[in-house]
Amino acid sequence: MRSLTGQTRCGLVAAMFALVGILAVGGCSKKNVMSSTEGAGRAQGGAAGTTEGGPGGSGGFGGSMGESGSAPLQGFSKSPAEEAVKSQTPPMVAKADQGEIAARQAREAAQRKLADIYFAFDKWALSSEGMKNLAQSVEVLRQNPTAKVLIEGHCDERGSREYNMVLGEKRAQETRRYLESLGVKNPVTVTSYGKERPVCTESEESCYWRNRRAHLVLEGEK
Amino acid sequence: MARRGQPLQKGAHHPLHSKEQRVPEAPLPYPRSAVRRPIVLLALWLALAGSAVFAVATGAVEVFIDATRGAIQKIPIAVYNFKSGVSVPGQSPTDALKADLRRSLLFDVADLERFGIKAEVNSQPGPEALQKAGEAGLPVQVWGTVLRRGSEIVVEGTLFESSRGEVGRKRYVGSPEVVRHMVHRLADEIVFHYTGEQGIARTQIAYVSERDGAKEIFVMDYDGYNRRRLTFDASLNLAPAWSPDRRHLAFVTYRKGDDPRIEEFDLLTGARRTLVAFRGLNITPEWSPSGEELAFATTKDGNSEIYKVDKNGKRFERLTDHWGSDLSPTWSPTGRELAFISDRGGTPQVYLMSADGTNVRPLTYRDQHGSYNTAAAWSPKGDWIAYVCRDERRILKLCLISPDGQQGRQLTTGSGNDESPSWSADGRHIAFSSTRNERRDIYMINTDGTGLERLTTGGTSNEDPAWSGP
Repeated sequence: MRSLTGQTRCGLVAAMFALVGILAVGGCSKKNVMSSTEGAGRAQGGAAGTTEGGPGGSGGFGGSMGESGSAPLQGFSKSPAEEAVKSQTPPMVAKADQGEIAARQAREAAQRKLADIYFAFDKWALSSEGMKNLAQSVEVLRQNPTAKVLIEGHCDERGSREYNMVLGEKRAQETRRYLESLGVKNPVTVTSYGKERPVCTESEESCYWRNRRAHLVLEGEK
Repeated sequence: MARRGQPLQKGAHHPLHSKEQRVPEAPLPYPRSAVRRPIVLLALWLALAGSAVFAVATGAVEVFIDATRGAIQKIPIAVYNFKSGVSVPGQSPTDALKADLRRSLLFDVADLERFGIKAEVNSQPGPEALQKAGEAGLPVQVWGTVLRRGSEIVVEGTLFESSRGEVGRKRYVGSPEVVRHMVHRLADEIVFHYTGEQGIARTQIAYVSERDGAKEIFVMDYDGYNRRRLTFDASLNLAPAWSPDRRHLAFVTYRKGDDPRIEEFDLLTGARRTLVAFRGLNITPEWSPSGEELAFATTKDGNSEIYKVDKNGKRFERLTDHWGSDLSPTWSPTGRELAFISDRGGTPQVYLMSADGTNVRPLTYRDQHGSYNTAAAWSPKGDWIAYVCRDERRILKLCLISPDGQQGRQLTTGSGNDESPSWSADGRHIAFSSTRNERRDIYMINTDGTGLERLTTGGTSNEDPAWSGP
């Protein structure tokens, strides 16, 4: 980089200050953003420079994760005090509820699979085949009028995770609407698993179509 | 995985650290000879450019200054091999530090051997090595030790500048398992020293990993090390989201019933509690930058709408009201705006709205940006919104768009579906899931498209990353 003349250099520096001033006025300062996102006790750390004999410890700021490596930074020092460092990894795990797991698995084991209805890519309209399959299930439902029907909507892997949750629910809702139009009186609930519970994982149409489904199960039949 | 340091020009000086006051070489839109014109003209140009930005900023759309890293030279830095009296399994502390400094995108990590300087030193380099390095255009040098003291490890690091000598030192002590975390802290101290910015070396990434047919929440260091499983619910746990103070993870769970609900997990105490459990789907949780509110989507009204709730789960406020599907809210760093996904126009697109739900307007358009745009994520620096787009092969990729809609580009290419973008706190990296290598894993990439790194291995599927704050 060639050296700039003294005059030009001063002028450029002045111009830079002018620009900074304008940007600050424009209110787009990121520094404001940073300070407004502080949670309790999470200061910006030591001065950006050296401190003589800086404070020791891993930052005893009340309310922060003082034990972890995310404690505030202290800056460099010519005679640094020791900083005790604990792991950054969160200390606790989420305790599972074994009773809840057992109950859920027992419930799923007791469910009776009714039908899988299939859908076209990105669509939630029922095909005539789907309607035929549902009509067959109606007979089972008539014999168990108090049993609950659960309709799960699913999608193939090609859509995005979140939007597929919504698409899956639309498929389940459409299926429920059709059942009700056939006079089904059983309690029906719908949910969606998006693409999170595929029956196969190959990235090809022979697998994709099997995942684009509404899965019906019956529970509480006598 | 990590990039090698780039070779340096002999004699190059970083503007901030040479004795002369030099203005950083920013790309100017006019030839160098114009500098010799009266400085008044230059000041006028800057004033106009600045006021143009100001004018846009006072409009309804929030505009943030694009912190283009490319306009600023990286600081050349040399790291001597840390003298280690301890055998550390896996990556050496020296390599871990270099990788942290490289990933910050603020430093050019030099290869000392290329300058004929020995990287191996006995606790510190000799004066000849320091002088040689300074003359070779390496204004910043780092060395240190990793030594055992009883049952603990002591890590010391020294920061040195050729123009002024020793800047200062750090000393860390801890158990052998946290040597990497001590090195990460040192890297972040170096980043903070030169930029005042909180580095990302100490950050964590929460994610979802499939185990035995169930999906559970995991966390790992930002570089893929120290993976740890957090849930054991044998159900589906999805979409983790960090509170800004890193104390809580919100996530979607099916463990309590057929309807997915949003649960909050306290990482310090282990406490779990339900935050949102409306009838229907409760999905896509995101904490506001202040940590006071959680935005999410629910289908309790029949279709997917965006709501927010205070952090205690008491006061709900509805933000969207349209028969279309609205989901995937993401907060601007000021907390005054949200971007979200809506198919109210017929296809899923990125929209913007104020934090009270007013002033809804589209950001992406079908004819310009394609017919399938989902999973918006607003950078914590505010200058970009990442989202999942679909390329001409109908494969999911990551795209970027500026909040004023004026700039946009496709960020990732190649095979496989790229999804679930999550920003680093410095706004320069994005973690995402990808099936580019058959199985779904979590990767990170720089916003300029370089530095692709895979972070997870093992398991059948690793997805849905959430990058913590600093």
